[in-house]
Amino acid sequence: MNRKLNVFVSLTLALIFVLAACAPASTPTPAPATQSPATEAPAATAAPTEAPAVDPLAALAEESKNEKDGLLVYSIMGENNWAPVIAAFNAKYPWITVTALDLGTTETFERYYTESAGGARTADMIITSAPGEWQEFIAKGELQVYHPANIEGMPDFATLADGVYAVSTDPFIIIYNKQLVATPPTTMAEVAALAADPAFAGKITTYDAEKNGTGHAINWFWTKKFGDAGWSTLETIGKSNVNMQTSAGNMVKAILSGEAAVGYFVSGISVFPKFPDAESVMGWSYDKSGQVVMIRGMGLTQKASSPASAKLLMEFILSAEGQLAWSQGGLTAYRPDVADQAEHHLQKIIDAVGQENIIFFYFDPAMADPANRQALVDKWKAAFGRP
Amino acid sequence: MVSTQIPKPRFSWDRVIQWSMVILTIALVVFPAWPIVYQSFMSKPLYDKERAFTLGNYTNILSDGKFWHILGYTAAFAVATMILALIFGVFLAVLINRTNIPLRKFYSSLVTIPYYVSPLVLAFAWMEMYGPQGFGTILIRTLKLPTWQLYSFWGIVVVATMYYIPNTFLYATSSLALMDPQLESAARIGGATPFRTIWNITIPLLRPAILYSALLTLVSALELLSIPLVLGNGVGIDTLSTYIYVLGVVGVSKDYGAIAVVAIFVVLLVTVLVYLQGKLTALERRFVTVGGKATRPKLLELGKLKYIVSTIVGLYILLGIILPLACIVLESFVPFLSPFANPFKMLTLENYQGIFSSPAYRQSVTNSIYISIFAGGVGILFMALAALTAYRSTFKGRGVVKYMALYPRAFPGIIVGIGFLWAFLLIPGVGSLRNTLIAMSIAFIMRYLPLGFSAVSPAVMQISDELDRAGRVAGATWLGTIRHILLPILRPALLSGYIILAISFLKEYAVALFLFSEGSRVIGTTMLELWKQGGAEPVAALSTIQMIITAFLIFGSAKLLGVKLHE
Repeated sequence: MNRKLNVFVSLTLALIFVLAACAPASTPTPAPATQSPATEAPAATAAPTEAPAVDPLAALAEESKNEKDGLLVYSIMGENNWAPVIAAFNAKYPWITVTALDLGTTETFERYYTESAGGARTADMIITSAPGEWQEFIAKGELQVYHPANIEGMPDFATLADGVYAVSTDPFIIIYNKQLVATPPTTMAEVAALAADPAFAGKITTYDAEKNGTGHAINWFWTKKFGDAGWSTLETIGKSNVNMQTSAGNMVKAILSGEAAVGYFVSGISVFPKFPDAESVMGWSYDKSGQVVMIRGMGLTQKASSPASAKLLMEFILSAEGQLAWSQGGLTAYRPDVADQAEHHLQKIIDAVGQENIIFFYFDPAMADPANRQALVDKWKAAFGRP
Repeated sequence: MVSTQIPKPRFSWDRVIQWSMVILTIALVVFPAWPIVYQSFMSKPLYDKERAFTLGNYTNILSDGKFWHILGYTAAFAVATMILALIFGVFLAVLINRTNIPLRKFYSSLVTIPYYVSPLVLAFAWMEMYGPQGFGTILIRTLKLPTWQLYSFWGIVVVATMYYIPNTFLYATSSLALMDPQLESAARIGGATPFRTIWNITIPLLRPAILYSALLTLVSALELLSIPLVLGNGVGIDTLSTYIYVLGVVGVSKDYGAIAVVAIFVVLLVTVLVYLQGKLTALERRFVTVGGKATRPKLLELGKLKYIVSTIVGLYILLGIILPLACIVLESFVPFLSPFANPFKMLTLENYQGIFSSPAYRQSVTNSIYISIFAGGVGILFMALAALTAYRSTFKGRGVVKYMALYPRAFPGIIVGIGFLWAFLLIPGVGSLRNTLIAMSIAFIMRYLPLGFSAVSPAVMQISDELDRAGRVAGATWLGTIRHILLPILRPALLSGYIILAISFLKEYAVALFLFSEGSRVIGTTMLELWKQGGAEPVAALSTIQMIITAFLIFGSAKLLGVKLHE
């Protein structure tokens, strides 16, 4: 018995040492240069716009070398979205260790508030979409305003507020199961027409506007644009016992399995990676009558312990190189001069639906008041017959 | 194991250990609890300087009709789950351990599988198999037979029952292993039929184990998040935990005050349950079943019935466990799983590559392994000492230990996470631990204190105290008795408790949700992150990895240590 125990203990210890030996290799030391073929090309085209910004960036780069804590970002993007961006960023600034946590839309702020109140190490930069909570963040004086040189020449919508700038512009689209839907819907009105058919009862899926911050914001901006007509469209859809989800992954899964036939306001970045595999089962469409485009905003925090590194990352994200890296990671780039190179780019959405039909997120002052946000939830719940 | 030095007669280590047990169990509960109590009386989040004292949180929640509706729904769900899990768990344990049905050894290792997987995974697995478009559902539908709705009260109850059966099964099994088989033999000799023996002798003797697992299942079901969330969320079903989740994590308007009040309410509810459980087991001594001598248990002969019973148990395992989980493994090798596309034509390793190519994801896997092995070991020793202090000492603080060790069950995992996060941030001097695995380990040990405590307790209670007395008469101290008499007898229970704890740590996610930071990701947080981003397939891959690690843990410990999670 005791000998067996000894064997077990020594084997366990051996395993631990092996793991310990592996650990340094597996701590985040992002391998640079793996993306080089893709990132070199845009660097050349970006050169003219970046030229005037060279001096402040060089100074920041020097400063960042003294920041020993690394760069901590609270974001709503996953590891797979970040990987090409961090790799390209580290090719330029190999001394900055970037750690990006993937959190909920409002959890990014909540974590920051909690940690900064306790005096703990907290985020240097926040990237999230929640327009209402961003405004609260600014009102609390927690935003550290930095004016990036690379915002020069960007469209107006990219400046969400003084100090908060767009990372990407991602569409929320209509998806459907090709085997179950004979005439694919391309607008919300057509989704509502399908919903009126009893065959589609319980077969429509979308974001829960009460339980999900993103779902809330989409419904907010969409109904803002379409007003009462929009609400009556939602009410029609709401009569068909809609299947509410809190993640786009769930909606895609429901469409692929046939549990749901149609999904609307579905995050495109969860849909596109399924192709071409899902080609025979799933189809998708922009909404030609009004296409919601979510803008992820980024801003520096007051309690940042690596502000220079954070500023460098912000500049990089706005640069042509950074925008292309996001596109590689599955997000939608918007910088005009990379429209031809980026796989996912705002220009493609504009070409498909027309500039006038795009509904951008913006920092709507009405959203800053929690009472207004709750009012939308109540109205939405009434439309969908939810308690 | 505890201390190899022979206790000196004059200096009493006994009191030191016993006092530390009292202090540690209280501290583990109070540490994360006080920010929650404090928050419940505050008008704004604790980080907000403008917060002020208020009773508004209480009046708001208690006057909210939705809260009472959800409370009733949750209670119904938890009670239904508890009853079903108890019935199936105990009968499976008795059939597999005490009757001569064919394949019983084989079944005994399969029945506990749901225990090793996260409830999140089990919910997905059942969705894949028995959801509206599940493979099983479609098969039944093509046969023109009536189908069911998994996304309903009973659907959720059935999946939750599947998840909790192994709980009861394991407690009942470890209790059976220690039971004196002479009692059963006596009944058989006295002319009782096998079933009568089981009903009148075996099951009544299992009452301590039944009471423990009943309490644990009930309380655990009260706060279960993932199964109601995955299956009920889409159709608007809410339980207390999904309600807290909505209020606090994903909802549009965060209301920490309301979360705190609901959490405190759950704590009070569980306090009552723990009190009742204490009353019910007041006559614990009646259940002394391990004496100084024991003989091998004799299996009850079921005659020809044994084939039928064996088939039923086999079908339960195949349809309830194996096929749904096989769907998950299959899902981990395809871009998506759908009845509209042949999965075997699009096999891929991409889901696994995605996980292994990311340093952060790899780190979360190694972190989970570290926590399982180390925190699990520290945890089970601590819990065993707590159980021995509570049940095997004359120390006057033992009642406190007994109640405190079961208390953490009252805290929903999310709340434990929030509580620890706050406590680490607000208490001076411990803040530097927050970013480490130590913080995560302490929180995990706190959350699973009742589990380990209850896993060891029935075994402790079943050891006749004539053994202790013999030790004491021979001059050993309390600690010496534990070291030389009780721990060796408890060894099987401790080792299986250790493995159970390690497995629980491996699959835990709710606690880590708030507490994790860049240095302390675990598999659970990565799984949730992957689910949010990419959907079910990478989650299926990570679940498969998790199941493989767990399998290594079980087979490794069985081969090298002779650990049997069940006899």
